[in-house]
Amino acid sequence: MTPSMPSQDDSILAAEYVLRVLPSDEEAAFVARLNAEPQLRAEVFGWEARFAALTDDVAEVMPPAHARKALLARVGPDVGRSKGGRMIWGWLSGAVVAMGLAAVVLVPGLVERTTTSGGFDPEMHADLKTSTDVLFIQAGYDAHSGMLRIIREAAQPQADHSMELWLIPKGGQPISLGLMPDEKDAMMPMKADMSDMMMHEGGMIAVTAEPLGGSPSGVPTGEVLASGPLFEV
Amino acid sequence: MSASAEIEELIARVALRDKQAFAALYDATSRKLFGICLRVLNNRAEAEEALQDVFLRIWAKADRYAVTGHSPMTWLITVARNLSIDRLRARGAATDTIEGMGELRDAHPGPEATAIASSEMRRIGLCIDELEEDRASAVRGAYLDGESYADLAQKHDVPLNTMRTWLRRSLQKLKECLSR
Repeated sequence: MTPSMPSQDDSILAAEYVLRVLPSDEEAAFVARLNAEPQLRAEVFGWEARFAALTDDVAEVMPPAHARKALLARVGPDVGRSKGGRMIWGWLSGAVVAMGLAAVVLVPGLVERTTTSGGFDPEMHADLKTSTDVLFIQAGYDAHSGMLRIIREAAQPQADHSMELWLIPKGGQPISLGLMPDEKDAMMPMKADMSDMMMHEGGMIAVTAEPLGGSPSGVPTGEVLASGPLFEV
Repeated sequence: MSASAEIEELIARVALRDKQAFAALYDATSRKLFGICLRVLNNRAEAEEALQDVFLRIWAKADRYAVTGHSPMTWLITVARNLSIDRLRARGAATDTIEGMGELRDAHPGPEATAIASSEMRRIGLCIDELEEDRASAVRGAYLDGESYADLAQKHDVPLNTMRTWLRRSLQKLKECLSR
């Protein structure tokens, strides 16, 4: 295998590498070239994509429920643990863990949907749940009045950060809906141009932990505390 | 939003350490990926362990997904297939593997985008069908059963070098068919 090999050969070599049939010495030599040769990497990605299609007729099999549980338990304690330079994740996740525990204690079962007060008739609703499936916030949107009603369930105000609400339209980028109100049950007026996006199923509402006063950049920067899809009531 | 775009968004959120998105990604893709682990390993207990490896790798590497330029399913399938083969080869004293394969596999993604439309991907099935039956079976055997040249040579009862020549010619034909 010489470095001046024609590219057609390289492509076949890349296919052998992706299939993992190369003898170990040739594989090591190929890997050594990958870092320096973008074209070779492109060949590898190309073959990976082509061969991945060979799994089209591999039957789907439901893994056992305990596998999911074990997996989620394993990623739990590591959330936000970073290798330095990302301290913000550390304290944010600490707050999230604390909140998660509080939520489990305070909300042993699902909270029934609160009956709406007069004049507010939501067309859209979202249950924002945490990663442990705890109902964190309920959100309802009434297009007629343009009001978003936010009911805090497990969510507790935190002294060291702000909770910020986001609308994630279907296929779009998160749009800030503002900071989480302090009241347990609050109405937030929404701009008129939000209505169309709010009224589409497939959108999502999420709440993140942001620095006090909200995300400085206008895009979510902190941990997603809870989220839920918008659906028609 | 297409299923593919939804999975892509979930991967992006997993990169931001969103556990809920991780759970949703698991729910959306674990059946397919577990099917692949089972297909490669042909052993339920090992496939379950491989599936854990796969999702822990996804959790750890979601931020690097974008640089592969792959469609989200291609990336997930490639991770599942590679880690299953790692486990398959770790089973016995396999002769054809090298130490630290997993790490080397991690080292390769670069910034190139070689996005391949799924219709183009589907064509590989048609192109493989153009190969002689035993050669098509060798390509599938290497990809899905993790068979080395030695395994393939034994299975098809030909010398190892002949096997390699066969497979390389088949790959060449595949490539020509796919670029038609």
